[in-house]
Parts: sequence; C-alpha cells; structure tokens
Amino acid sequence: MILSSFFSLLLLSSPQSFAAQGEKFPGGDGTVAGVSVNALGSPASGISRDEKNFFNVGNSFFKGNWVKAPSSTTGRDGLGPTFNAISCSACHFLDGRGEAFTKSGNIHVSLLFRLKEFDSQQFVDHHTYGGQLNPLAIDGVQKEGQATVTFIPREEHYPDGTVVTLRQPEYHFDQLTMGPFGPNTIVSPRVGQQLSGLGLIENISEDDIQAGADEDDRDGDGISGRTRLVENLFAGKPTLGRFGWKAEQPSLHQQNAAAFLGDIGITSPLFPRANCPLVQISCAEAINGGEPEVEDHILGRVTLYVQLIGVPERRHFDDPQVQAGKAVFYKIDCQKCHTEKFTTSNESPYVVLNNQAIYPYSDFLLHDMGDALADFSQGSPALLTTIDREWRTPPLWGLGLVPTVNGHNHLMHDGRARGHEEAILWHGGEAQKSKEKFKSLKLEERQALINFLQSL
Amino acid sequence: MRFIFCLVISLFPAFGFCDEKNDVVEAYALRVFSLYDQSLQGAVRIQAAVEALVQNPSDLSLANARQVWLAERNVYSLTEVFRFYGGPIDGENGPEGDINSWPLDEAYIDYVIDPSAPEGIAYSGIVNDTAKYPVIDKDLLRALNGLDGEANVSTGYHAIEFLLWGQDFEILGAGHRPASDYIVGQGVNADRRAQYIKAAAEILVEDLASVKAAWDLSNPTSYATEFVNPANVDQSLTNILLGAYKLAADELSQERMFVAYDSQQQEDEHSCFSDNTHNDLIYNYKGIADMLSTVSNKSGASIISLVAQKNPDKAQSLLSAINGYETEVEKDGVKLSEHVAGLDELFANIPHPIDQAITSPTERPQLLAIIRALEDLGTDVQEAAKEFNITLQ
Repeated sequence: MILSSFFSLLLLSSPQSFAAQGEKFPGGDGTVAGVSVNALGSPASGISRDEKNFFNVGNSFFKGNWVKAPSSTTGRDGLGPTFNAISCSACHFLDGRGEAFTKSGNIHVSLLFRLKEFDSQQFVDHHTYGGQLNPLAIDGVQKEGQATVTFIPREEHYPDGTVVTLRQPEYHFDQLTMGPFGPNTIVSPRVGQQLSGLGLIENISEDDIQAGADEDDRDGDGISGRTRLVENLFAGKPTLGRFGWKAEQPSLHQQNAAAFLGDIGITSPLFPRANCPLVQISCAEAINGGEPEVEDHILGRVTLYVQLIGVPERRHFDDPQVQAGKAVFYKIDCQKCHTEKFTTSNESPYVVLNNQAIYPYSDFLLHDMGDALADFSQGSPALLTTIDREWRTPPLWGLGLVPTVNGHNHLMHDGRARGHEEAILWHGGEAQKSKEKFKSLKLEERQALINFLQSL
Repeated sequence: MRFIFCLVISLFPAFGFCDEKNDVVEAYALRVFSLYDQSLQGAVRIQAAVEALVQNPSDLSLANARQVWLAERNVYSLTEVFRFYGGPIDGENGPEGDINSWPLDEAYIDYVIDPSAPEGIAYSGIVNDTAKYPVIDKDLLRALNGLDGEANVSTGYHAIEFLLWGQDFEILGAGHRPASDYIVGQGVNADRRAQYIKAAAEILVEDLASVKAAWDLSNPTSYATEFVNPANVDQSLTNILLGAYKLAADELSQERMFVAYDSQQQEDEHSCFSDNTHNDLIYNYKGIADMLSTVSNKSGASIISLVAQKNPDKAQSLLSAINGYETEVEKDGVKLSEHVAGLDELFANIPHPIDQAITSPTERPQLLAIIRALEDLGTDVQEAAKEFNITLQ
C-alpha cells in the first residue's frame, strides 16, 4: 500500500491527487478490504500472528454469551444480576451499529437508557436504578423495568418544496419495579456504536484533539467544540474523554470494563463491585461469578480486539460523483466538526496504529446539537445542563457499510434517523446552519453528498 | 463467461475439468446428506437412550445414555465443516445455535452447585421453576430459544450432555450427576427434568431432520439441488472451500483451541461436562481432511485432485499438512531424513482431557503445535482456492 502510494506520487504530480489516494485507506496501513457482512469486524491488515491470535481470544469473549453463575465454564459466568444484554455483540452485532428499533417498532436490545439524578448538589447515578436501566435479570432477581417507544412525525420542508418526514421518538417506561424515576431524573437513550478504528482514535494525541476545541467560539463561526476531562481510573486523575456518545470514557480499557459492568453485569478489576443499587436487595444477594468475573488477562484481550479492528477501505472514493459530494460536504461546513484527517501518535504498542494518516471525519469534541436531540427529564426540563444537549462528533468511517453489515441504516445516538438524509436533518444547535444549507442545496448536490457518505 | 466456456468444452469429454468440478460439488452434497443422515440416526438413538433412562432411571440406564451420547456426538462434529457460508445449518433461520450452542447457561436449565445456597445447591432454572414454567415441552424450549439475545439457548447436544453428566467442577474426570436425579421421589423435580431432556432430544431430532432434508438431492427444490446445479458450480466450490478455511483457520484453531490455550480457564472447552472436548476437536479436523479428499464415484475427482490439476505443489502442501512429510536435516555433517508430523498424527496424539492439557507445561506445546498446523492448513486451503480464482477471507 505504501508502495502504491509512492508510485501514484510519481505518476500524479498534483499533491491533491496524492491526498485523494491516501483517502482510499482511511485507517492507514491497517485498512481492510472487503464488503461482506464482516466488513466492520476484520482485524487490521498486517498485524502479527500473535496479535491475530490474541485478537481472536478477545473476539471470542466479545461475541460469546455470558452465563449465570455458578457454571462449569467459570471463565464465562457471572451474567447480571441485572443486565441489558448477554454479550457485547448483542448490541454491537458484527462490530457494527445497533438497530435501536426493531422493524415492528419495539425497542431493540442495543438501545439503553442512562439515568442520572440531581441530589440537590450534583448529578449522581439514580438512587434506585443506578447509572442505567437494566431491563433484564437472571432468575430470582427483579428486572428494573421496560422502555417502549412511540414516534411523532416531524416534517422538514426544503426551499425546493421537498418534504421529509422524520420520526421523533417518545420514550415511555413501565413495569418499573422501583417506582417512577422521579422529577429530578435525566434520561439519555444511547445505541451501540460501531467499532471501526477505535485503536487509532485512542492513539491520537490529546494535543491534536485539544487543538480543534473552541469552547468560547472565539472565531465566531457558531461552532464551539469542547473537550471534557473525565475520571481515568488508571491514571488516577482526570484525562481527556474520547469514547462514548458523550466522550465519557478516557480509554478503551475503561470503556470496555464499564460496558461489561453496566450492560452485562460483569465485574472486573477496574469495577469490582456488582451493579446493584442498595435498595435492590435480590440483586445484591445474588451469587457472583467470581471476584472479579472477567479477569485482567481476558479484559486485556477484549481491549486488544477492540483496538485492532480495522477501518474498511473506501469504495468508489475517486468516482466523480463522490468527489463532488465531498466538495458539497465542505461547501456546507460539515468538516467544521467532522474533521477529515488526523495523524496518530507513536504511543501504541501496536505498530499498525502508530504514525498513521487517518480519515475519521470527526473532531472527537462535544457540540451542542440542539433541543430535538437533547436528553430529557420527565418532570423538570429546567434541570438540563450543557452536557445534556451535547454529543461527541461520531466518526463517519465505515458508515456506508452499516446496511450491508447490520441490515439497517439507523443513525444518530438513538437510531432515530433512517438513513443519511434524515441524519443530516436531525442536526441542530451548532450544526443548524449546515443543516439549513443542506436543505437549500440542489437535488443533485444533496444526492452527491449522500453518495460521498455511502463511500465512507 | 467461464460457465459458457465450461458448457462448450463439456461437449468434449477429453477436456473434463468442468465436469470434474461438478462431480466434486455433487460428491460433497452427497457427503453432507450422508453425514446429516447419520447424525439424525444418532440423535434418534440418543432419544431412545434418554427415553430408556427416564422410563427406568438407574446407574445402568444413565451410563448407557452417556455412552450413546459420546458415540453419536462425533459424527455431528464431522459436519461442522459444512458451516460458515450461510448454508442450511447456519444461514438465516438455520438451527446451528439450537443444536450446538456453547457456553451453556447451566443455571438457566437446572440446579447448580452453589456454595452460598442452603445445602450447597441452588434449585434454579427451567427445571425447577414450577411457577413460571408449569409445563416443560418442546414448544416451551423452542419459545425460550427464540428470545433473540435476551436469554441463552437451552437446547442442543450440550444441554443434553449437561442433563446426563451434570456440572463439572472436578479437576479429574467429568460431571457426576446421579441417576436419582431422574427417580421420582428422590431427585428434586425429577419428573420435570425427564420432560426437559426428552424435549431437548426431540428438538435435536427435528433440527437434524430439517438440515438433512435441505441436502436431499432427490427433492428438486432442495438447497442441495440448487447447490449442485452446474450454473452455481463456482459459488458452490467457493462455499465448500470457505467452510474448510473458516473451520481450520478460525473456529477450530482459534475459537475452540487457542482461546482455551490462552485463557487457561478450566472448562473453557465445548464438551466440558463429559470431558469429551478432545473428540470434538479430532472429529472437527477429520471433517475437513475427509471432505478435501472425498472422491466422486463418477470421475474419481476430489478437491485435492482438482487443485493438483491446476497446481501440483499446492495439492502436495494440502496432503503434507494432513499426512506429514519427510525432510532432510543435516546432523554432524550427515544428512538424515526426518519425519514431520501431519495433522492426522498430531490429532492422534492430542493430549486430553483438554481442561488439564491447557495448563500442563508439558502438554501445552503439543496443543500449540496443533493450533499452528491448523492455521497452516487454513493458509493452504486459501492458497489452493486462488487456483480457482476464489479469495477466501
């Protein structure tokens, strides 16, 4: 690949053409070819045999079901007591995006609800439900409750007369075994994200991400991306948050350990205590699958797995339509948050992640995305703070393969958008201007933009 | 284009490569049908042995049921090379998960040893939950399996294995479920456990009958009939090789062997209740090797002979991987012939039980040698596929 780039440099004197050649490989040297259903889950190209072996171990624990303790398979037990899913891949199917809503309009296992409560001084985990609603439980333990959804149609009118009808989800909660959430609760729906290129994202230097921040909008363009410091259990001090819909996790190791606990109920050395709020007695009394339930060795393999999943090669990247779409992307200022390119640092133990020119199309910063997307409170909308309206810009690489891999094209943090056009129309807040520009584009420009997104 | 080429040259039997490709695909389909048929007959024998156990539970009838399970498990392991390309076994709505799901959620099925519970046993699971599941039958287990990611699968070979052996926490030996678990008046919920194991056996028979039917060449609308249609020969050959490649390079060498080798967790092995995992591995491998050399009774062609026509070296690599080869080594200035073991020999000497081998300093190198040889076999299959313009990933 390096060789072919080198030859194209010789053949094409224009540096712009050279940049375009690199774009075909958005994950750098580890970019993976292929358009099968496994296109979002292949190991990065060129990793060593040992790395591949360990990748497969991580994959086994990522895809495999966890079972209730005590079982003969002691390395795979400890499910629950309460949980959202029995495996990582239930929500990250084939390492792609969660479905969020089933075809029949029910909530899919991949959509969860984070909960936090204002205790008169600060926000903390909900006192009876914990940090998220766990709709499932092992036998003998109370489930927490169920979410359901109804959709409200919401029309978007274009200057050329086009009308697109979006679906605004409205969430309802029933069978709540600990009673209603209460007025001081903020609910945040979030769907399982795709895993492409996470190790590369982890290996971007803090300074490079910080460089894009403009918290007070000093340049006056209406866009004020900010970074967020979050608790880093390894570092023992707050560091840059870069993973999760709200940039709430500093590293993949901590992200994975948090998901093991919050989503599957699996304790780890990082989070050794079961996920049972004090009032949930049957939860607290349930037997565990060892202390911890996932050991550092296996958690390390799962983290390696997530770090070494490759980014898919772009299809048709040099098609004139796609290139025109990219020009439209810039024309309406999408790149102001969806930053095209970074170069990774030299800090990773894995060669394939170091010093790579990558094209994630994200600044990895938090942006106010407006009211329609914001988290919600059932009793006290006045409680909502900045972070409840903010979302971390998601990277766009691999976006075009989601329908192939996952059989749907549900986008945004709770999967409400059915395809790229709807996703663009859900952009508000700091992205409102770009959205209005999109609506004013000619039909063929809009189509070119969508073609560009599908090529990612 | 190639298809038209094949049609043209098939008018001249001397240029028989395309015919041979069709013959090999047909021989494969016949082999698949035969092995699923044998698996089905085996499942029927398991069902009969289970029936005998629950009718007249005793140490003898339990031991007999275990023997039958062990004997009939191997033939199913031979069929796993027919997976990984979305065929009848594991395509959309394929029964693979219901037949062979692992790990098993033991506490979701029946009582488990639980030191924190009264008398050290937690009477958990479907067998003991009389309120939630008043009747245990095939329909209930089917419905529970359909809970799409919300609950573990509760059927298949390993569920029956668990109900015959019980949990295995032993360093030495398999599980020790007593026959009294099935004696009404002695085992807690013995009648319900009997209903459960009977329903699980019935489901296994049904599922295997469904895949067997899909491979029935005498049915003009079956999957097999489409599979052997000369118009589909290239896709079918791709699928055949993909199954062999995926099983060797991923499922068997990695998921079933390297993961246990690396995690070193006792019982991180598939047939953990019966300590029969080494046979699962042996027969998975044998399924690949036998499939590659299966000979068409029409033309005598096999996958390996097709490869040999294109590239004798690559065919030789496949044969060496299976049978081993002689190499020359120089020792103290003298040239000696040295035998390098193939997978047949490596598997014949596989250390077992696997749950002990993975932690044994002397046996771990043997396991790793098999893993490496299987990875190499995967590469050999991948290389051979290139001769047919097939890229395996």
